[in-house]
Amino acid sequence: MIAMFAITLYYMRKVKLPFVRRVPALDAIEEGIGRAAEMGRPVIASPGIAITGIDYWTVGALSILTHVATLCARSDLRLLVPLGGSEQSYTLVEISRDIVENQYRLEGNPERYNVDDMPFLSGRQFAWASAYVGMLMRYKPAVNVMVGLQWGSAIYIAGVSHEAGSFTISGSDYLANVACLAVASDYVMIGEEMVAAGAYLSKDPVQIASIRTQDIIKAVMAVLLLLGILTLTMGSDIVKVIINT
Amino acid sequence: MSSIFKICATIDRRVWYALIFLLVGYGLLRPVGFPLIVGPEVKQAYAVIESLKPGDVVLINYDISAFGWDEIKGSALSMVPHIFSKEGVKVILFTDQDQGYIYLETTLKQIGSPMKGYDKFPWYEVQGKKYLEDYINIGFIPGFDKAIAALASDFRGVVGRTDWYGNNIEAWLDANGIKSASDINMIVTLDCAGAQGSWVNYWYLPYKTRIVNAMIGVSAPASINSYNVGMLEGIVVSVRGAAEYQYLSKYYGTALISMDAFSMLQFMLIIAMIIGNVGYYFWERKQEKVS
Amino acid sequence: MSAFIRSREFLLTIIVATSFFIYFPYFVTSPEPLPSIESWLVTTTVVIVSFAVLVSLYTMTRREALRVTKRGKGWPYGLIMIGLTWFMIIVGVISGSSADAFRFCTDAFILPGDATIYAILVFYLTSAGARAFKLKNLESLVLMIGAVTVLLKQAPLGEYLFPYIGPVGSWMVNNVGMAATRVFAISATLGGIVLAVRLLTGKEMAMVGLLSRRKKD
Repeated sequence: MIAMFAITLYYMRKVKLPFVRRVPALDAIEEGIGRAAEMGRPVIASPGIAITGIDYWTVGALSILTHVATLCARSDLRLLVPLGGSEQSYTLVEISRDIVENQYRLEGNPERYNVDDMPFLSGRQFAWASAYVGMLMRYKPAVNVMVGLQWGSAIYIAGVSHEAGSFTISGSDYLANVACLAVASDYVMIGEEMVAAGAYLSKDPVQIASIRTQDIIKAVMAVLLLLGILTLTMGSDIVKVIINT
Repeated sequence: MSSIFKICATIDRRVWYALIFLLVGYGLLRPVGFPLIVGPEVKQAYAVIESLKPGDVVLINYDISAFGWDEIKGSALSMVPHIFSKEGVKVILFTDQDQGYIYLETTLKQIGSPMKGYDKFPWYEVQGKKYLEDYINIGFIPGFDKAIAALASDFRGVVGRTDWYGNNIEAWLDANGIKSASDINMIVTLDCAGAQGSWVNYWYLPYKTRIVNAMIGVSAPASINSYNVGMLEGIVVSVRGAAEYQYLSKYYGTALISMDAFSMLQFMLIIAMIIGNVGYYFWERKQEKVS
Repeated sequence: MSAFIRSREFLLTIIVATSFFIYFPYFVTSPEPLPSIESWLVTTTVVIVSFAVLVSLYTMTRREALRVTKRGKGWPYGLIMIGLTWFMIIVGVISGSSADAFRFCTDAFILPGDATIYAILVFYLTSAGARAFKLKNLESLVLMIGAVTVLLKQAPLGEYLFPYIGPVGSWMVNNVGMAATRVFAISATLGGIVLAVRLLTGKEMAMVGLLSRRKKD
């Protein structure tokens, strides 16, 4: 943990821009907003249900929401944000509204912001999902950006989004969900793509540099894994002992 | 012949939905009695609960909401009476979901009866265990994973002096030597919202508390992961696991009955896959090539 | 004073201090009062969540009441929502959560509604499966074989009719499936740690979006 902190801070200070591969799902957000502008239809974006509070998935989703709000404000588009879904989503409601309002104000379009477009739908997951789906069917948005914790309701919302003709960009914390969303969505974010979204979308060299740490630690873990397999095969558990200390 | 393949490729989804409805309905209303093989995970979960000794304290977590009750009630209505049937074992009932206490009370109503001289909650006797002698209900603590973390770091402080119904439980906790989280011997968590991760993080890792997890199907991958590395001592996965547990514990219920419908549905899905692919290969691909 | 409280530096200081007092005693055996501060902070979040419920109740009631009085779009639903919410609150407060009236409301409205929407997932999963399990290439063939194996293993009749399906299916779930889940969990956790560093240094976009209140020049 300490090593990760130190390496991340080092790269952030160094500000040497590492190579970061394209993340199609994140790049597709601009494409989706463009589609909405052409069709004159609203955009719907959800930061998830925050069932475990404001954890790192939800923060990643809020970063994406910030980006979507910025683009919608610039393009003078209506942004719908269905909020709620768990008892801990109550804190997410005010944060999301604050973020979106800030972005509309910063882009010089404060009158486009409408708090009624960001309703708190319900504190129950499936009641929230039903209301979300209702919004999709009524407003027929051009793009649906559904990221964050969606849990069981993800496939339901993605399926209806497909039926409503929306361009669906999704991301989930759950591997089982990702599999379903990969089938039901146009673009899906897998694993840490959603968590690194804030850094990727900001185009800020300092933030992008921090993504490097993840790659370094993964490389270290892959090497340890291979070493562990080899040493265990040869009858030694030295790697296991080192990791456990 | 090509018309048959065309039909296979273009079957309306509603036909499949109607078939699902009919098969599940038939299977539930007229169970056939297909054989059931009990898997090693459920056998392990059963053995872990069987190994409870007199004096052990078990915390049962009802992480249950309305949507998951039908899936997890099979586990609840077999595991909970099994735990209560263990002699000398003390039980603390807890829920981290706002609707959890409703299903907790529903379980107690189904597996127990009011104590002599009482006619309402919490005074229920379950498998010979009396309220405030052998078990207590501390009810709902908001916060989900934060509640679990708070219980781990300051058990008596978070539980407080009274139970869910306002009865003083300090004497009971002191008499059973429950001063902190490390005094809880086992956690049995009935999950609809994936609380097992929090129990592992805040209870297993610091205190090595034994954890048995029953969960709905969507939470299974994460739980199977934790089980395979030894963080969970036993897992009971969804309705199939509940049916196996009911069979082992002899607390028969709806999960066991629904296995026939379950089997029929799985086979229907496989047949649907085959039909769809036959139609795709022999008709839809030709249409794609032509266009 | 209010400007200082709303300033970025003050908010970041709170985040860093809170993070330190929670992380440090969790990973390192620490002397008092650090563990007590950790316990207090963790317990405080439980209190905050409880109050957040009250805040949401107030905002929901106010919003729907305004919509009803102004006859906004969908106002009858708002009326139903306010009516049912407050009815259950009043019944629960007066007669208790174990009372028959409250239990009736739960069993009549909430349980069937929640269970129905959860059950609808089957239909969407089926239609997603229909799209996923088309044999277009080698990968989809492998996917289909895996899916059929696990489906047969899950079905009690399948495991009985094809005895070897059980061990094969278990192997797939416990090795192939678990490898994917572990990779996913590890990479996501690493991403979370790095995100935490960005948050603590005030560089995360969500934090920037939240704290930016000045107009652009």
